[in-house]
Amino acid sequence: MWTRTANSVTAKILALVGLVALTVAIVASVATTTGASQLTGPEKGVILLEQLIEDYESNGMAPDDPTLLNLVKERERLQEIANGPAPDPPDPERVAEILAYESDTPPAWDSGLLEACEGGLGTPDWPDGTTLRCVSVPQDDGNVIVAWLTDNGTAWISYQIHGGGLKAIWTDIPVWTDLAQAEFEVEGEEMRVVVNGDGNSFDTSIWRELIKRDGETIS
Amino acid sequence: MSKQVHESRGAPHFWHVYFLVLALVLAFWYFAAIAARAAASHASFNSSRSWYVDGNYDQDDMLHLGCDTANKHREGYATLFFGAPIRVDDPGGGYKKGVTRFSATDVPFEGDPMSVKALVKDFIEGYDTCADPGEYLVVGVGVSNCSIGGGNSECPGGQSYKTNAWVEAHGAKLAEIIDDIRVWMDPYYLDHAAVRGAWDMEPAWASYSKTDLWMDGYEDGTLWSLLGNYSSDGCEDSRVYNSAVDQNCANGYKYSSMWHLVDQHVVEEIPQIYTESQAIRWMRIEEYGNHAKGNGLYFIGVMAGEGTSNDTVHKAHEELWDELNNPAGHSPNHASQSMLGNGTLLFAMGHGLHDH
Repeated sequence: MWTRTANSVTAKILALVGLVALTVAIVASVATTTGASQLTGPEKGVILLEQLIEDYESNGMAPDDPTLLNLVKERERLQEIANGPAPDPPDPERVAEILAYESDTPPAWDSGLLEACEGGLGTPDWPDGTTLRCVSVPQDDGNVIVAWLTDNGTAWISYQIHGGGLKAIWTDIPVWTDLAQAEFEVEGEEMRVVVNGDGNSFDTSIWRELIKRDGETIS
Repeated sequence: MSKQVHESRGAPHFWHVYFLVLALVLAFWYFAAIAARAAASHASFNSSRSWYVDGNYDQDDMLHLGCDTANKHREGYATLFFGAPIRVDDPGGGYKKGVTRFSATDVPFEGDPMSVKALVKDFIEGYDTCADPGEYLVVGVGVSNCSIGGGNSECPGGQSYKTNAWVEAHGAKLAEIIDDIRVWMDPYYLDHAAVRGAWDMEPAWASYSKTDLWMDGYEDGTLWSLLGNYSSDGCEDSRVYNSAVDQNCANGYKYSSMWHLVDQHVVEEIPQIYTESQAIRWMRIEEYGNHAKGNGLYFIGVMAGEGTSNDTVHKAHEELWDELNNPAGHSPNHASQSMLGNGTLLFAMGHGLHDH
């Protein structure tokens, strides 16, 4: 009888412990899986600012430092916003309207240079006197790929779409490492451009261009 | 009868055990998931795109880019780079991309639709318009130290107007822009964005003193920190741990210069990590700070560079993380890098203005 009573009490305790643990586990797991994604923007901003404040304080910034006080003030402002009404969700029509916009403005510096470069290797002058070397390679689809190399250690790649303006698609490739490469996509096809230089002295350097399309060298 | 009672009490006893086992399994699963998340924290981070803003893109372009950025669910930190500090009326100053429209003092650009301020506002408006609830981006408004004086042939500078006073005033001008944008953002755009100055500091592009001077100008003008998108060109990159030796970088810079430009200014550092050697350099500079100055650096993310010869943003993130958290090599008081939760990939504009 005593054993049976003791077992019963133990079982009830076990059941109670089990239920409490189960409740905690379920609540905690739900909070874990949904909590992070439910943070609002201002709440993320608050977290970011708290980390910054902690970093600056550990770096020895005085509590009354104006920068620190500014961050604290911003944290309070974001907390205030976080406690306010939720922002409106995106307006699909406005989003579509913005995304539908396509710039057709070519970089001005490219427009006049293509003509000088067309037909192969050319050396047009940059408006500020920099000497450029370039190669233009017409593509079957009507586009023109142009690789440019400056005498100050940079190169870039442009392309012209169906007789329109040129757009820079790769700028400031460092070529002092002897080899610069760029990969880009033109109308869904992967292109690869490799520009070789022998260093910074491009006046006397030998450089060559290699434009591949689908693995086949075309120039 | 007695036996029947005993059996009827036996069934609940079984459920007690079942509840306990189930609860323990769930609890174990929960805590295992927490542990796994902590262990994998360096592999999970926000990824964004940063952009060179070339000279001819207008406000609609930036509105579009901001919206596209939000539609790609980019969060964390992203910088719009406006190039070298020059005067807008300087025809020879545009040898680096970006800002032919950024002026320190003498050419007003208030109300100019092509101004830096207007372009950044449109980017933020585009992001805010298209962002889902909870998406949040810190937008850096970036200039470089190219050509402000004492740089290499890439950034010779030399214009007579680039006096010390002008360089400092240019920093202050960016500060003014940041403050103005921040005021404009409140209250409508703070749900999705924050704004900071940003600084493409590259040792080879300007002398240390000029660079430091520009930063003084910025800090005198605003209380907002700079995103430090620094390069580490020329810095010693052998993998040595726990060293307080002040090694050299390019253009007369040393580890101590780099440390100063991060730690002694109000900077949120997001270094350029295009290759593994650059991750090693920043580890060395951080270690130098720890051992020589008693204060290491704190990195909030990495900036990778577009291109096949460069790291992807994930690889860059992993490389810096690995260098900073190698338990074999670091002193016990090595700085926490809990904020290395952001990566950004620098893109040239002209991809049809699509984030991709």
